[in-house]
Amino acid sequence: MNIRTTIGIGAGKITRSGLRLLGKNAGALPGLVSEKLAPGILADALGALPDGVIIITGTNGKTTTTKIITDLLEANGKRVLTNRMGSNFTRGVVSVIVSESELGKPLPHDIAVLELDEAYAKKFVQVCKPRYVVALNVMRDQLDRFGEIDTTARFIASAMQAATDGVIVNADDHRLVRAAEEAGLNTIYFGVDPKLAKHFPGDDDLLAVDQDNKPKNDAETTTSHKPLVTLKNFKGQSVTYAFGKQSVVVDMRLTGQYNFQNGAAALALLTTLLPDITPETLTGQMSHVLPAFGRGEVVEIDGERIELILIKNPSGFRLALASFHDPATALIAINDNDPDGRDISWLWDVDFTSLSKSEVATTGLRAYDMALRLQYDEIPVAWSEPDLAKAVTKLLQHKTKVPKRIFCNYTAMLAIRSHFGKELHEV
Amino acid sequence: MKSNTSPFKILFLYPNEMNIYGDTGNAIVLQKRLQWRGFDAEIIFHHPGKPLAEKPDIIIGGGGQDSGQRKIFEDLLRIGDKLHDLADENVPMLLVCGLYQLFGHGFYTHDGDSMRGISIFNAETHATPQRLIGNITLDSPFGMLIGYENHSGQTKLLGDQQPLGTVVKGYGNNAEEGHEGAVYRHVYGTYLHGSILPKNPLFADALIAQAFKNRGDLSPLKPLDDHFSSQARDALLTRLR
Repeated sequence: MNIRTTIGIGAGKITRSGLRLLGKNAGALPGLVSEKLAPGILADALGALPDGVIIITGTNGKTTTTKIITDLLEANGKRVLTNRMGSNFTRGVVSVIVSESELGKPLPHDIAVLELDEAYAKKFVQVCKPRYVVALNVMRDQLDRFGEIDTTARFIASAMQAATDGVIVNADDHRLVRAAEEAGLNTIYFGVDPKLAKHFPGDDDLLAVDQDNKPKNDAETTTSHKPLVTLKNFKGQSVTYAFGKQSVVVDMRLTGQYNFQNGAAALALLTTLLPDITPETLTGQMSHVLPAFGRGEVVEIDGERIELILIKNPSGFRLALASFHDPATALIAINDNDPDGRDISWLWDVDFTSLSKSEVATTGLRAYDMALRLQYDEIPVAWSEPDLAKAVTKLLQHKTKVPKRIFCNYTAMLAIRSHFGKELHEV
Repeated sequence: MKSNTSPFKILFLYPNEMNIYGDTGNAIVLQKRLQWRGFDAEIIFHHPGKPLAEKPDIIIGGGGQDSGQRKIFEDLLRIGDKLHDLADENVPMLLVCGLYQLFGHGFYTHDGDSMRGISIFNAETHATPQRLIGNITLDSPFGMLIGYENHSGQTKLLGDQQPLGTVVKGYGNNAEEGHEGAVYRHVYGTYLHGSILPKNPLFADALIAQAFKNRGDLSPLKPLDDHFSSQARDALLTRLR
């Protein structure tokens, strides 16, 4: 570790403890301070890791996939550096390095597993070459930042091209498959069985308003790729994966079909990284993985159980709605701060009619826009309260026998968690 | 009281290719606002290579990615004469972003590559490296229009081409001139998505009123409950202040 890096990390640590003294949550600011002082921090610190760097990128599922991969590597004795809190920007990564390192010493880890926002993945690889890039999917998300989905796909393609050993690619995402093929990369595919395809609409399927006249996507016309790991089937949380001809059934603690697909991505990477570990062992370890922060977790606030569901884009919201069939008391919390995307037009790409049997309220900076959206799907809106804390308190006080659910986007979730910090417990 | 007649036809141009920023919202709003007033309304789709539906009451179209725009522009040229005729018959139309650009003379990139448009608007659009992004408000004949813009093509209005309105916050047609959109008879082009019609019900009802007028019905539209729309407008205008 060179002297500038050491100085940079030291300065970051001082910033971090200063923030702690002030009672502020140390997020990306220590990273910002360190990054300014020692631009080589990433390359130096991560370059010294014996097992290198793994990047997880794509629109949906980064955080859960990163958690599965990290848990599986740890279960197999690896010391993993990861950005657990979904702080998926370069500064967030530098912040993690600052907090994990001792001055003047190399990081005490074997491998880094980092989830990176698509645009940052492209920048990150210019500084630090990953061994593998796991590319999950490209969906419409935050178009006001990335411009267009094809641009997003190009960001991921640039990141993939920097991989020294290979890329793990979703065989069912034609944009990613094409990017991997064009670059001639060593590609390991994961996929879902064709008979499950209807549960996993791609972006073009979601985009097609006229479902009877969908455009043929390119993937349907190209030759199929043999995935290393395939999600074969699922019933409840009992999930079948195929490793070539061998099938393994695993009872997952994770819920939701998309997490099962993320599981296939993680298993494809792990089988590649640790060829000596059997599919039975890996899936056995995967059965213990718990949901990541805000990804379908159940929390208790003042003894009231509430499900927190993070939704960030139309595909994620559609899937979240589709994974619940029971009536509920639902609060939809929509902010439009920078990390959420300032543009909320995507709410019009989500069909809310499945909430017709639920009691629904709205909150967040865009509480009334959300109410307006529901009005046009003829879903009655019980109330709208832009103030998140007031709205959640109102939900807590509401007497009901049905589950209470909060669908929230990113900064709304952070605000809720921070407001109820002390009273909020993981279940 | 308006008389009931055959279902209203809302024609949605290229819904699979040109629908990137929640443009479906505009179709939903027009359909529901007709249905809530007791009239049948159906959304019909136009796809590349297919014949243009007969006698649409309202035509709408949205924005797409460059690749989507490339897929449809030749088809648009094919149906261009029919769209001109419908425009001259006072059929109301709303074109957002990508299709707004192609209702002008065309879209030109710096390397000389271009997509020709159908020239209903006397306007041309040039690709720029700058993306104009953010909340936008403008003064228009339909009150303050509120939406969100996101485009790197910048549009120049030529000759006596009239804009849809004057920008209050945001960019509009281009980064310099402070006007937004274009109007020809009852054809409106705009960069506002968000979607535009839900939060601008006066504008939605102007399109609907014109559709009734074309059917010979001049009686006023029944008012609807727009309180969420008003609250959403107020909330955003307060924040933009």
